[in-house]
Amino acid sequence: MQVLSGETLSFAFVPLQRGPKVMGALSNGVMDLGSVSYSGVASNSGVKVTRSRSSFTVRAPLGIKIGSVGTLAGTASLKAWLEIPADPYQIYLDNVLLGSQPALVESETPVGISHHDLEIVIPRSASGAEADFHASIAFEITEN
Amino acid sequence: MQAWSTTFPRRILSIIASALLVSSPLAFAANPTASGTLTVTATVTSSLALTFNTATSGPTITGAGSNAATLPFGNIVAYGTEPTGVTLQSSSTSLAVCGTCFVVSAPVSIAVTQADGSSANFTLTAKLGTADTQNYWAAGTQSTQLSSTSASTISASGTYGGTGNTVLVYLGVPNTTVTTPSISNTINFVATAN
Repeated sequence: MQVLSGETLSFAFVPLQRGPKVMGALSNGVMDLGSVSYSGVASNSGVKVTRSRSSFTVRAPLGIKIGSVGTLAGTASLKAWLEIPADPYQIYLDNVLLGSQPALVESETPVGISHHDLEIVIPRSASGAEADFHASIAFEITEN
Repeated sequence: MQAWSTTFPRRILSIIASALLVSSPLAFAANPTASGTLTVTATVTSSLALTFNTATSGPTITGAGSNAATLPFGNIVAYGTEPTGVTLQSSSTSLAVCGTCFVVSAPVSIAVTQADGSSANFTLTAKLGTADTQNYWAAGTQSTQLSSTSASTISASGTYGGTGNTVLVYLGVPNTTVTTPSISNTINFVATAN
């Protein structure tokens, strides 16, 4: 789950103690939020659900590790976008709504492990019976 | 000739400078980047929310708008005037649990809302929290007796929405009771999507 680019910058998803598990290998991380519903509680630990009148929001913390060879300190800009549309769901990373185009999430993400908040807004009228939510979020960091 | 000799070196310098810039990776290379992809999955399940409210012409309940409310019958009597919102169904009737009883009823509004589901209606059942061998409890209709061992169907096709479904709660008390202590029990209502 780690990508090296030019042997100077690396990117990886890391599990957080208060967050759900992140699995996967190489450049692909997989976060399973489990079963969620408007009136119930989330089945997986580290996943929280809040409700509004017309939707509910599923929140999960996400850990990202940025490594920079030869540099103990520094920052990188973090961009993210959706590889496939997620309608009717809305996905936010650190309160930034993600779409099909890269969006700047954080301009100065510190080298090391940083904590981020992933939010998925699910309308109450999203689906028929049970529905599988699936989103693929691309991340890109650029050294400042 | 004089003008050429002065501009020629400048052009050479300019070309050399440009060549240096083009050949220098530090000058034009983009900052290092790295990337990753996170797949996020979840199963969105349909759900129902049940809330109690004071029914029209019913006693004022406490805990309105929540799923844990109290319906107060007040001081009920077999012969006389019932508290506001309470109706005397019968001053003396024969029921299995309490023998010869008087029966009162009070309405409560039960609202069930659906999220991420597509069912047209719901089934509402009720069950007593604690067994009562002296008093008679029913809901929906007077003949729909409640017990603590199994749930009784109150409605097979409840209507979703905040308007709510009015459900009558019946309480039968033995006429033979000389001193009536405070009577209370818990009724657990369960709504299940059809």
